[in-house]
Amino acid sequence: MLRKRSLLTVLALCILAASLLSGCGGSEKKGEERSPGVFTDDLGREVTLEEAPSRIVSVSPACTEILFALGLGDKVVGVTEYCDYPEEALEKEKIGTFTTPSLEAIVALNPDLVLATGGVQAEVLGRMEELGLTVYAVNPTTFDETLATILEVGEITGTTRRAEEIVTDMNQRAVEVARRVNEMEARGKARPRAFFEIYYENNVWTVGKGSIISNLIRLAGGENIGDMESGDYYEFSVEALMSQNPQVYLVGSGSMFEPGDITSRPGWDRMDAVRDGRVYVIEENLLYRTGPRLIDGLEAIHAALYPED
Amino acid sequence: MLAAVIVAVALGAVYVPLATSFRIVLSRLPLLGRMVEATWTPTQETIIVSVRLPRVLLALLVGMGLALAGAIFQGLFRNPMADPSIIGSSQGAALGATVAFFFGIKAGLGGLTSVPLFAFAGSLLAVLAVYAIARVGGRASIASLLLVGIALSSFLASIVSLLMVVSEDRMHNIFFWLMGGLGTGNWDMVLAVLPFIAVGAAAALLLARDLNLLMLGEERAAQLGLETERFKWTMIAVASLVVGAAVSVSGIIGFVGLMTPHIVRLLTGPDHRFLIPGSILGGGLFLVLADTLARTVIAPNELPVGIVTAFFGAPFFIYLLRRSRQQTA
Repeated sequence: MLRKRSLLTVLALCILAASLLSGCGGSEKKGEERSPGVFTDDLGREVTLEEAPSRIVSVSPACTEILFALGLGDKVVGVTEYCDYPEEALEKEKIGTFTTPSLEAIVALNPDLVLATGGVQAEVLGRMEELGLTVYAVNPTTFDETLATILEVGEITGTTRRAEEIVTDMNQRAVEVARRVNEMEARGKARPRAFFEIYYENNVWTVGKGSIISNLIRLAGGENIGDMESGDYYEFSVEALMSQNPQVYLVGSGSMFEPGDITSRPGWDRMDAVRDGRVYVIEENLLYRTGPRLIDGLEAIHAALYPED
Repeated sequence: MLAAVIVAVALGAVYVPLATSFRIVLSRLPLLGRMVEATWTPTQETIIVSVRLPRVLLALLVGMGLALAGAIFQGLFRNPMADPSIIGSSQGAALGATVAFFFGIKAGLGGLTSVPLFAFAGSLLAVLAVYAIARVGGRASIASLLLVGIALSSFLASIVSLLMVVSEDRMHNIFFWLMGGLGTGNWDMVLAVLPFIAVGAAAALLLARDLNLLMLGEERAAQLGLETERFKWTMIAVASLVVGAAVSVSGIIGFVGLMTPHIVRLLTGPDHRFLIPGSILGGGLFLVLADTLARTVIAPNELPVGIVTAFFGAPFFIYLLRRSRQQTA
């Protein structure tokens, strides 16, 4: 039974790979650089692009990473304060923070495309439109959606071929991780029960089922203890954590610098994960940023869950 | 006042020369507009006309409204700690806005999004609820109004917090709205708020004398021919509408409504005929300056305007207070 299900998983991934390679919606032939036109973004808004954009403002670190990976670095004219990857992004004009982008700074850059996200920025999007800016919102919440987003951005910027290369590579690596997980399961090894800490102060903040990190833990072959709740991020009581007793303890780099820091917390050494030295700090930008480096985050989690692999 | 607005429009994350800003604004005025030659870029014009000017005017109107409501409530309740949020209007607006965020309501009305509309409705409903609860046999004493207002505010605040915890992905939107700010100010908001502030200001100026009478105490005012009960409700209604309008477009900005009337009082004395117009002008000026600082200090990033109002307002108030005490001593 187990084996059958894992075979299905691999099959599904292969089908996904195939469908992704044929592009979204199948409206164009593979590898053909599409001439721009009318696109529908992740918030269901219709966006018209007369020609491939040449002055792009990115309002999120993930978008910045996607644009640079697509080779559009020299067309990016503005980024947020948080955009620190790749290094060239630091040289670009700053247009404020991710949560409060400065409208006038964006207008002054005279962009022909503003790449934004939904969520926090939903209010500001309307304002940008009023000011006559062309805004395209991407809002991926899973690994697969991130692949689709990269293809989308490739499509609207006329870099479909490069986008397909990136996505193919990411997908192949994800399939490889899935294959190893299946092998482990075939050998009758249970998925390790992992807990993810994003922040600690008296209680621990963790990731629920709806979060991108939970999605990555699942793909990497772990079982996320935080999945008891459906939300994105929430507070988890230390008592509940002790009784859950995770086998692997994952920490975002924003919360802890060294795996050893955890032993200074009173009573934490009673947890299996801590006692067995299975505490791993993972660079959090590889997990939160839904861009080309998300696969590095997935592999980092997999390596933490299956060190013998 | 006008100078402050012009300077505020000229300052921002992007540098536009003062003279250019001034001429761009002039060019948009009827009659005068034809005399100005356009020597600026379309980008500069968009920044000044579509981003900065509405935001500055909105700051002006919101500041006016908050200070006006503060002055009315302080007079009405004869309580120096009264501020615009005293009878539930701010928390009502917060809950309205939170509900709009939480359910992702897309409805709009003539260019306004659902958030300010819901905030305004929430504000008025909260005040009506306070009034209905506090009312016993057709009369509500000021004391019970205050107590019910505090209790209901806490209750509404707890619902807001609960919704914030339950709504994972919209938590940030709610949080930022609650912090207060004028960042999304546009012309629709300016035009929506303007009539409320204008009518409220006119009504308060007309009734300023009666507010002076009420300061003598309700009995004394009644002997002098003031229909106290009706007058109180008129004033509360005026102030609530003004607060609802102000809060609905700016979130919760503290300090302006509480402190401006006190600062003006130290300069003009307690006579409401001077205190009301003084508060209106002072509040508008104060918030325009505070928002300009918020926009420019760490540009292109922004400070929440509430931080600025408290940071500069509080020391200034303490200074004035000390000075006036020294004069009377």
